[in-house]
Amino acid sequence: MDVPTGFDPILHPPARLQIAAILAQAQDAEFALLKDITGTSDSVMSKHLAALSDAGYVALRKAASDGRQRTWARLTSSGRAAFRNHVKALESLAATVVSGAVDEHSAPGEVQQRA
Amino acid sequence: MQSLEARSALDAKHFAEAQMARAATCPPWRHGVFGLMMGGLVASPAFELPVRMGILVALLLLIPVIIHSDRKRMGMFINGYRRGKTRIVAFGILILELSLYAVAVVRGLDHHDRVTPLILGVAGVVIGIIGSMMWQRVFVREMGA
Repeated sequence: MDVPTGFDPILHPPARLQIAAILAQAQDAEFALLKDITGTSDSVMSKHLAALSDAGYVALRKAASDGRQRTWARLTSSGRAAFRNHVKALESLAATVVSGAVDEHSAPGEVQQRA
Repeated sequence: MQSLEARSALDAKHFAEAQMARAATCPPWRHGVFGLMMGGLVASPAFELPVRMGILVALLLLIPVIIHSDRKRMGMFINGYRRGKTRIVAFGILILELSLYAVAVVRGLDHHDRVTPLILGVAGVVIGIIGSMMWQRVFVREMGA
């Protein structure tokens, strides 16, 4: 199957897609919240955020709170655009399952002709 | 990439959004604070200039305090004017509150009527609280939580 336009390999890992999905809704989010929702470990989350940051999709900042240094992530405008396009690509791919299933059930004659 | 893999990725996205909406649930006092801020703005023309200015400065100072409190409590901040169905609710609240404020300004400042802005202020509190709760309900529904 062809990869549709907008599909982004950087956003392909589920945890990264989830991070982008959260940051697309919130102005910013803290490392611990992203880790809890995605169910990843500290080190895995750090790697995902570093990959997204290197791609220019996420901006990271450190801020002290309650005597502890915390990392906050924010989706950049290019990250937002990449996420939107990636989701559209996924939706078009997922839709082919539905249309494929409908074709199979609604047009048996066509299937026979092809056979 | 296979179609089923795409569907599974979208499911993971929806799961994260629903979890996020659950984490973003506001306690009742948070809706109350928003309502009081809106009501305070609407009622401010009932007072003399120094008090009026004091109320407006206090409201402006409360905004970063609330943002900080949200970030600390939830680990994120969600802008009320974010894209999506909640924007309709946010603009609805804004239009209603500004309309009340405009009437309060005319009554309080032009007609020296102190009672009407106070009554409108109470209405502003109620609209703010109900609006804030509606906003949250729409957000949670939109996120599929």
